[in-house]
Amino acid sequence: MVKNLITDEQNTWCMGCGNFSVEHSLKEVFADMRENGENPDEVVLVAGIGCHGKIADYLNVNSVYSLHGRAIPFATGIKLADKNLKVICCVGDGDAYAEGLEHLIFAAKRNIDITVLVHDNRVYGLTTGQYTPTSPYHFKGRSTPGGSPERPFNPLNLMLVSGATSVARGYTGRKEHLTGLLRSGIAHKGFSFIEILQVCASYFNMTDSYEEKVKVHNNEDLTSYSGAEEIIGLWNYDDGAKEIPLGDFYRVKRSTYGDEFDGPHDLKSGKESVMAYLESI
Amino acid sequence: MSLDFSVIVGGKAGEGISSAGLTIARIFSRLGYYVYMDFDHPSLIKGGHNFSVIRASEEKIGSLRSEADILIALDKNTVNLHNNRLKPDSSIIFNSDNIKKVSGSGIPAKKIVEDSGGIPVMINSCLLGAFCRAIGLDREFSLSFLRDEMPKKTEKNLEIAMKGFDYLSEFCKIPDISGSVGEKKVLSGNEAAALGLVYAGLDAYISYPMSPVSGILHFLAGNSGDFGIKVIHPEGEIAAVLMAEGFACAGKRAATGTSGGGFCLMTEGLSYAGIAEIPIVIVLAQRQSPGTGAPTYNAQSDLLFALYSGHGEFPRFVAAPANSSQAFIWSELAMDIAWDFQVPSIILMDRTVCEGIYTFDSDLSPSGEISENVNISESSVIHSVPVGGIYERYADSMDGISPFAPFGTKNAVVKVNGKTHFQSGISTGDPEILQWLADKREKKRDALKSALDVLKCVHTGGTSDSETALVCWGSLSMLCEEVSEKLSLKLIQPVVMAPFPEDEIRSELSGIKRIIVVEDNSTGQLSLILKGMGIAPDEHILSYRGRQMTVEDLHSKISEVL
Repeated sequence: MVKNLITDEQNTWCMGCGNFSVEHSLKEVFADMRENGENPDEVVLVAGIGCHGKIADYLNVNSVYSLHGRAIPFATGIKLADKNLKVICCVGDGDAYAEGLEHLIFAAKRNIDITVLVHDNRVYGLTTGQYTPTSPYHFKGRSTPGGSPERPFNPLNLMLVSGATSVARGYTGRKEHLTGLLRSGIAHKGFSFIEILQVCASYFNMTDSYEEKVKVHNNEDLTSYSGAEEIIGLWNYDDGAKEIPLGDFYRVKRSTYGDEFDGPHDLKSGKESVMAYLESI
Repeated sequence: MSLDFSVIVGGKAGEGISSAGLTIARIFSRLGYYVYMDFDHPSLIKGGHNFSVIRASEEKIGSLRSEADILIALDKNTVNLHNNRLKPDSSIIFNSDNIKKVSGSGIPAKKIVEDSGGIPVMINSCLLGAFCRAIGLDREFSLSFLRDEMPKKTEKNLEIAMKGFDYLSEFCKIPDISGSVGEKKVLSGNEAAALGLVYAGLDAYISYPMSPVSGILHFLAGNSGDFGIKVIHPEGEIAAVLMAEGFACAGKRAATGTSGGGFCLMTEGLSYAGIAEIPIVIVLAQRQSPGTGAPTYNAQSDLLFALYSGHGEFPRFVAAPANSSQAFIWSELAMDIAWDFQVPSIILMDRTVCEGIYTFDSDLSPSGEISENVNISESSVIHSVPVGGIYERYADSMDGISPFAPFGTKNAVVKVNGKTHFQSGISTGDPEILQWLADKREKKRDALKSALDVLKCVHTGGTSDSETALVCWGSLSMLCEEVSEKLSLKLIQPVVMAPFPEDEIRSELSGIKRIIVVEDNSTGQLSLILKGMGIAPDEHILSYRGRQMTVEDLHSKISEVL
């Protein structure tokens, strides 16, 4: 009997939430794995805390429902412990761009072989509507009712500069396209960063603006860093863009963090190696 | 008269004081003596004043005397600072090129080094050679022993050392007793804790550098190939503890180490491990606090923090070893307990134990067998789930311990969760489940307490039928034991701090009419725990100056209150 990839748990996302799109894209990717004879028992989903985090309760795969901002260190430990596991992080923009930013930068810097999906709805949904690092300048939210005094940063830039070897952007309103990006990101051996523009139906519904501006715009030479910079620079999370580019922007091969630990291992057990050490002193 | 001999080596940071001290400690060990060394150093890289105190004895020791027999001085400051510790018959071995107007055995070490074409740090090699001669070691033995102690620029260092050897004459023979009692080995608390973890099957050590625990990171990194472990230095302590938890979820034994400030950062991760039931080991090495405190000086001020940190209520195992032998045994046990009960374990050390050099009792038998009834001689890990079976990460059980399937186990969907959760691992806020979850954690605590009943969780010494007891913990234990013997008191040192061994303590205290608690903190933290049990200590001796009291200091403080 084939296990259902969606659990029986009652779904509590709002109607129109962009999270459904990510959930179903991932479900398709996992179902395809099964069909291709790959083992879904080797998938580990690590979720942060936020509306996005509930995906851990809804997808019937191995998961860690971790701490706010901290999915990435869990994921790093899991991947280093067993390189056969396919480790996918579902994180939020508040979660990964604020609380957990250091871990995101280090994951890129290390080129750890995990895939990070950022459910970027540009607002803290679960805590009812505060601004995040990608909210527009002067965003009026629960903690900044007079308008946020901070400008957003461009997370794709940050990831590129930090050494990410695969950088892409998707949108929950383009599910087919998103599913394709997930497949390539997961298949990439190295750190895959997929920024997913997500509609928050309750606190920051940008559907109209996104529908008008999103455009698939891949980097023709995926290995070109300057090509990636150019496309990524077309939109800085502000209001003035003519186009919000979606697609694969950068992909290069580089040795991964896990590769540094592969090496011949003496088969001596812990006990034997300690006895040998004590003999030698 | 049983030998009890102390040497102080002093100079500036950067002059090799720590390694000179270690060499002296190993010489005494090789001659068959029990050794204890404390390396006192402020938080700097060059300059200032560093000194090692090495004590050798025919009895087990873990403390220092107020007086020293030989002072080895690399600069005048050392003589000024330590003169008051010398007895009329003590001697000074010193670099006469930079220390004038001192009587004793001066050696023109700087000139010897220059004439041999060496570098300034080799001055300590010259004085070490002179020390070997002073204590009557034979030339061949000194040459071969020092060769092993000087792995860098060996020939040059040896040449200079032997010139120092030849310059002096013997004046203070230390007999070689290794023929009758055997040669001994020394280990620092950090090394011993690290070895205990490896012995227990450590797969990964993930740690951010912090005094006084960086020694574990360096030791394991340097031996990672031989020990077959991954050693990782991540971006911070939060990453460290959570990476360790990630390793554990994938079935690999992991540990981390830090001091008070770093542990503060780890406490959310600790709380996570408590509810998500993740086996990890954290070495918490106390130092002078609060805040940044004094990074290289001692304190025992984080006991209550170790016991109650991490928001919410969940069981943990905490052990506070007193020396390198205890550090080895209890680190090994801490790892096994973490995996048998799926709880976080904390090895609570302090700067004195971490960096102190102690004779290592290499009998590796555990201090007791854990009861078979509670299924913890093997861990609770399972390796397979039947096809079509439903695996639940937090399945209910008699003792609260669920079978643990690591990620990748075939046919298992493993849901690890830091939110309150059903047996399946899916989140819920249902009131019945919240109560069940808390009860499950308490059942595990009870199971752990029960299992620990068969172990000796409290170390005792001194005079067992005395009516007065010295109660202490951690680094003060060996000092208190020595003074208890001199004053015919009973020594009681709880090693396990959580679950606190109440029954064993009560049993050790039966017949005791007077309790003196000795701690290296200003508020009496172990004392508070005893009071919580309804046991009121009669006296407190609290010393909180960052350095351990000497045998004489404690002896006189206790005599005052007896």
